[in-house]
Amino acid sequence: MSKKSVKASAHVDQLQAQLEDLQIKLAQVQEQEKRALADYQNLLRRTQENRLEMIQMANRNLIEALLAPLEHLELAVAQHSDSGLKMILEQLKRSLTEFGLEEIKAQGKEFDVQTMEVAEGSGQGKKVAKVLRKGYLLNGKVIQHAKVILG
Amino acid sequence: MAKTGKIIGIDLGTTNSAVAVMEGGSPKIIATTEGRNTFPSIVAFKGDETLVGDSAKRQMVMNPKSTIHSVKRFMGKKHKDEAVKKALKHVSYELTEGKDGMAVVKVNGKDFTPQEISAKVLGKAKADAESYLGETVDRAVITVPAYFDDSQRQATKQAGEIAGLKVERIVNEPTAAALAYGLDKKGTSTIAVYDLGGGTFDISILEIGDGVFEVKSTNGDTFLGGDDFDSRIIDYVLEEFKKEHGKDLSKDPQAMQRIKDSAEKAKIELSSAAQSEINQPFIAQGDDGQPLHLTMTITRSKLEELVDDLIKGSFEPVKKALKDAKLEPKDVQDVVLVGGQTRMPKIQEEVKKFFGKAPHKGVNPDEVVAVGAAIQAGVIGGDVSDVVLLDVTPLTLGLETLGGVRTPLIERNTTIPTSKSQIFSTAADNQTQVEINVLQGEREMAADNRSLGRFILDGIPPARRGIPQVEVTFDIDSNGILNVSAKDKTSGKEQKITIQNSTNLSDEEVEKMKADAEKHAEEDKRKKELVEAKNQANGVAFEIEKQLKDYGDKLDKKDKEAIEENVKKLQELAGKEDVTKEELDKAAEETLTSAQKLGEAMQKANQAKEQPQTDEAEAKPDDKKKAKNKEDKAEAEEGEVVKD
Repeated sequence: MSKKSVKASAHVDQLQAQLEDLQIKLAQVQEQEKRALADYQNLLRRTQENRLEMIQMANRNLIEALLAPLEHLELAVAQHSDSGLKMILEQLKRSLTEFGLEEIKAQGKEFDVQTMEVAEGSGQGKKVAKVLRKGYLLNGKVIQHAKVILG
Repeated sequence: MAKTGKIIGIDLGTTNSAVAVMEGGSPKIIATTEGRNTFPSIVAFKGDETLVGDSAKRQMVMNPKSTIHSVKRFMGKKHKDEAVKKALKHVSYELTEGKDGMAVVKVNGKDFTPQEISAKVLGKAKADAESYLGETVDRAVITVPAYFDDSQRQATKQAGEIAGLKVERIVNEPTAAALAYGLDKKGTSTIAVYDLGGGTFDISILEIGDGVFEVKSTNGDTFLGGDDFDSRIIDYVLEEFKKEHGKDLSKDPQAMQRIKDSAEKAKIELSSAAQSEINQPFIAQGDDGQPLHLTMTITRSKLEELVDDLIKGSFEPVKKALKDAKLEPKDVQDVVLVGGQTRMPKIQEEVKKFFGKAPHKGVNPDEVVAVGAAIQAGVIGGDVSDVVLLDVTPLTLGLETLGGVRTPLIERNTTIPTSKSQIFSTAADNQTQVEINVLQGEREMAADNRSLGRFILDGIPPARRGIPQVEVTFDIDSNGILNVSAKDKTSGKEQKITIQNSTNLSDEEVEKMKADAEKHAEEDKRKKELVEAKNQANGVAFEIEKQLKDYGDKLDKKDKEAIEENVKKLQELAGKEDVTKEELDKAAEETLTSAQKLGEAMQKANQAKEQPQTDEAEAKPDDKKKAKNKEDKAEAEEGEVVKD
């Protein structure tokens, strides 16, 4: 083999190695690009879902803050049988219902772990004997679990 | 071969667990299906059903023997271990001796190893991650306390495998917390990790060198946590109520429930506020049948007094750990806080006092371990080391528009590469060229920003103002090179400029420009509004003048003169330096009102002619490109970059 062809074949080898190296790098970069694209598409999908949820739950913080005063108003109505006070309570409840608030009916019902929480001092029965704190759903989602005592 | 799929990081805690994943180069906590960032490490067996997390916790009271919590305390432990005996006092389920004398949980006559129980917790983490990512997850990094021995670590690994997760690595919790703060990149350092969670307290002293963490010593109190802090508040409230009304509320479950809820709320509030109100009306009935209300104010200092011994007590293990590591508090370079209870300002203050330096802040202490685990997972999965760090534009890029106003195109902190286009138009009739002045900065007026370059687009076919459509495109590539092009949509003529290093500013320069913008924000806003009001006024005057020219002869001479007078006044006003926005708005309004007659005349004329009105395209003053003076034309060369 001539010197020239030896040199040429060495050059070819070098190029071959370079090519392989580049092919590996290209594959890596393509993989990275796919990942970035996938991340982005997932982000888009989730943003969409989050937006929908945000719209549905936009009032959540406000309504949650109103649950304590609502509970206290109910206690007041139970204490004083004042018809005016009762009217105010009904009015408030109606307004909150319009915005998607729904009371979890627990009294006398069978315990449901999705909507209720057993409070300390409870018995071991299956049915709710007493509701310590009312539970609520907002647009079908639990925002406060009912605290209950079982029979 | 490159492995596919994400590796998740799981903080498998005694009380609560959390899961995180690397996404787009940064760690992200994955919310549970219930929408929370952490979930109780509780598993319950209820009939054929297995509940994990919040739902298991909610039924714990009715099902104490089949609800397994704090199982981490028994991981890899023999049943006869002292620690097991001690922990057993705090759980209500049954523990027995299994294979090789190991502790196993007995539920409904069936034995479960702590690994099997933990696997259910990990299984929930896996399921939540899968639902978030929308793909199968089969690999994880799981954290364990630094003091876990080989058998406990092995048990944790098995738990992962039972859950269908290949455990890529077991990482120490304090190491994960340090990773979350990037302390591995600091070179050599000694780090103290103060971890006060829901039910356990751990202190770990770590040493980091060349990215490798070494645990020097650990200590702690296995039964100290945030729950103890809550109890102190509850006891205090009960005692105060008793003092005032002579009634013991601790026997009334409903009252206790309300007090518990308010105590927890008060504790959280007192981390950010100086005082918190507890208001629970109608909590009981007095002997006279009258309702009793619970109203009290708890100050932050009262809370600190109530839990003083708990906080002070936590420093005993800290001292021991330092002693074991043969170190003094001053030898510690970095302090990291973990666990929700460390949000309490008093704890942060005491930690700072003890070590003589402020602890790291910024990562949520409930989530910091999971975040660190995700970072470790990212390193293994190649997400972190190979991550392409995308730059952002440090300052807003925009261009100068009519009246010397800066119109932003690419807002600051936009991730690059990016591109944005907007259509602009001419400000004067028959304007054949527009100048594009590329600006960088946060100020409202063009002159207050840095001009990166300018060029002229000419050859726009003569038309009425606002008719030509000039599309301006800003494009920044990944190297920060900004390409600005302007294209006249009618003639297709295009002109562009390339600006190197549009993002290449020193931090000081960026900070200065941002600070300037903040300082002048009000003044700039006023200036901009004034210019916009002037543009609006000129626009109104222009339109009415045009209509007067076409239809003025249809008006009474008196009406026409009145309108002309108003237009003249408005133009004069817009030309004045010391005019206010309010004056201009008022004058524009008056001019428009006076021109109503003109509108009527136009309508009549059109009806009479019964032919379509000539195209009266709306001229939007805001979109007008700044008119270029004639003399500039001679100087401007196509595509010339005028650097200043």
